[in-house]
Amino acid sequence: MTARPLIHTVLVADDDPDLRALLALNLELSGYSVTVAENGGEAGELARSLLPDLIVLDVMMPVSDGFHILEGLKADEATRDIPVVMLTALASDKDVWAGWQAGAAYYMTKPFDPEQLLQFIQYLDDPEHHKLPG
Amino acid sequence: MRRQILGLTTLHLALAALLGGAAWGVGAFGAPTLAVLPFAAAVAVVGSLRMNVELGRHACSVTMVEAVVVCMLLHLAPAGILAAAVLGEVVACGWQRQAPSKVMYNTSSAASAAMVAATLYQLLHAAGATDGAMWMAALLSGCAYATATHASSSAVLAVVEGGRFSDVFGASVVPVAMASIIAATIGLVAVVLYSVSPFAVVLVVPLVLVMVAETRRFAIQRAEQLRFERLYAASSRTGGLTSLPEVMATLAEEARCLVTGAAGLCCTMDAAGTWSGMVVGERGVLPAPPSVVSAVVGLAADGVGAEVGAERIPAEVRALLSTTGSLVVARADSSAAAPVLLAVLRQLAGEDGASARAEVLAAFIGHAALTVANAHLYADVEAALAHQVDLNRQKDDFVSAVSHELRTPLAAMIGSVLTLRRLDDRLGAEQRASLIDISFRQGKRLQRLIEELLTLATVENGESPRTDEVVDVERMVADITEELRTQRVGQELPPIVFADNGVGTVRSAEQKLRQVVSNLVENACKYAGGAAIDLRLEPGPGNTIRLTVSDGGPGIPVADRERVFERFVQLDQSSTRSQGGTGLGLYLCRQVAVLLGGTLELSEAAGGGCCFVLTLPRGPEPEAAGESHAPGAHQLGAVAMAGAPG
Repeated sequence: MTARPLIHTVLVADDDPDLRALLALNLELSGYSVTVAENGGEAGELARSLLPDLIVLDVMMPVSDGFHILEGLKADEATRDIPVVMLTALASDKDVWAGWQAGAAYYMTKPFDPEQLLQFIQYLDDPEHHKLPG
Repeated sequence: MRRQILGLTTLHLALAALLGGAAWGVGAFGAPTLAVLPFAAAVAVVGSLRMNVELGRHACSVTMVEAVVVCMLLHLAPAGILAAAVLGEVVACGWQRQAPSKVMYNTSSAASAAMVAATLYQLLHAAGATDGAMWMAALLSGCAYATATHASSSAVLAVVEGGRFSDVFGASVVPVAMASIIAATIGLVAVVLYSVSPFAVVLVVPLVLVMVAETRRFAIQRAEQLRFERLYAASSRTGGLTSLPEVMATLAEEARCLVTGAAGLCCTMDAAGTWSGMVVGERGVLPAPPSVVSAVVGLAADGVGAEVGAERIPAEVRALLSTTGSLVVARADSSAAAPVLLAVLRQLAGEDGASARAEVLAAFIGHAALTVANAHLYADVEAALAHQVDLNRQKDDFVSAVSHELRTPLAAMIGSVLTLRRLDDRLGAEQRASLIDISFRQGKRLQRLIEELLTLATVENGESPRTDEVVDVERMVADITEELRTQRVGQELPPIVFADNGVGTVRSAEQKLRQVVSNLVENACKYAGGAAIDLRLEPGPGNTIRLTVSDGGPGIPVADRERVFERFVQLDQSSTRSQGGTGLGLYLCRQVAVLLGGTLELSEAAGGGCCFVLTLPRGPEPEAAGESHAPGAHQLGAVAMAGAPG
């Protein structure tokens, strides 16, 4: 198995413009290159065309919901290994479990601390943890 | 059914032929003579004096023809008996204008019964030649004739009614047997008296009259008894039904059987006072045509039953059957559990026991009303339960929607503040301002959601606000526009145009009215797609004013226009989600409009977009009514800023 490349590019998909801006600001200040998607459809397309190193995915989005996108990404050879962080207001155990089952690398519920997301990315960047989630 | 009856007819003819052939074989068949004619006439006359015994939808008739049969047995050879019986039956049937198929069946039945009786008489007569033996043989053969004809009519009734032969046979055997034994005996007595003197036969006349009257009475009583048995059975059969159409159809069917009808009709009145019904008849179970229902309703008086003759039955009702004899109706509305009407069309003519039938139907109507009321109640309970289940589901959806809507702005607020705290030294002035803006905007969004939730609680409790505040609508719209501009920093706002056609100020509850207008304007902004939003204030019908909010968006299909006012309904989730909609906005707008004594409707704007029409009572005239408002459109200050990002 090939080792996952270090994380440089991040795709952020959320239908709320403020949350997109907030996540982009935090990620960019930590040195990542960020692309944003406003809805599920755009998220799926950008994930396949850009092949980012990490995807942050909201669940309740227009066009196509996050779980659906996640399933599509995991079914596609090209995008299967991209770690996906679910970031959603759906906080029930059932939703969290659905996220893990669909193959999410991490499941964060809103409200959240942006630093928590950055720490998780750093954790993934650590060569020792390359093979763990995802 | 027709084939079965044809089979029975063939069976009768075959039996008659077999027995006739056997008699011929032994040289006992004989040949018809002119003496046949008086007997045939007697069969025709006596056979026409029928007494109907009612069975289900049909009736079998009891005659005293056995008296003539006994006479024939003693005077004619089998060939003569057969000829007289057939001839007499044909004449009797023709006299009563029976259908050809019925004539055919009755004649074949008479032929076989005559041959059964003649053969039996020949066999028994051969045993002894004394008068006593001869009389006994004639009596027994007369009874055999009666049994054969009764079995024959029971068989055809069983086929027609789909019942069991033994049930039909047993139900009427007592009056038929009684009448036959008496008739046969009278016939025998007449023959014996005739041998003494032809005038002595007159002695049996009083006996015959009494017997006819008694048999008739007995037949009616028996019919009554059968009907009450059916009444009891009908009540128990309809007791457990719950669905209204099923109840109506069953009641119509039971009513039809109760009064020996060919078509039954059950009608009930709905909450709006409209009668509707189900008809069970020759064409199966069908909803009754409205013309039939109204014609029947016109015939029945409350609480009593009645039977009306064919000539008084309205044409629409008569059209339900190929032939109509009478109509029995009973109706319950004022004091009954539910308004119900039962009507039964009979093919049989209605002179015998008309009042008894009307009484039976009237007795059944109370039970019918209770059954219908029960079905109504059941439907109400089911609807209430479904509504409750739906409310519970809505509540769950609501909690989940509110949770989502609270978490999203909270996430942006907390996220911004945490970022500010953690990265303060590394942020530029612009980034810092942007984070503060996010926090503020999302705080406002939370505030609005909370206000909406509070309003929801108020409107759902039905608390009425004071509606006597003087509201300057133009100023209010300007404020709302300004507020929207502040909230949507960085986003373009479509031009908002306000026109007042001579209304000026409105008396209402300012804060509530503002909430409605603000919601409508904001809603229009989401869908306007940059096109202008038109607000128009004008006098409405009567003492009302009308405020319309039109946008240049894609509009909403007619079918969905009412749905937008339902709680938690977001027709287009994609855009409302990103706009921070909770699915409460329009629902609340309408509820608040109602609280303010007005209405809120959605129609189509001139360009095909949405046009929300808020109609409010004008309210008392403001005290400072001196100011006049010239009609005209004002482009609001905010419009100038609409193009420029804040």
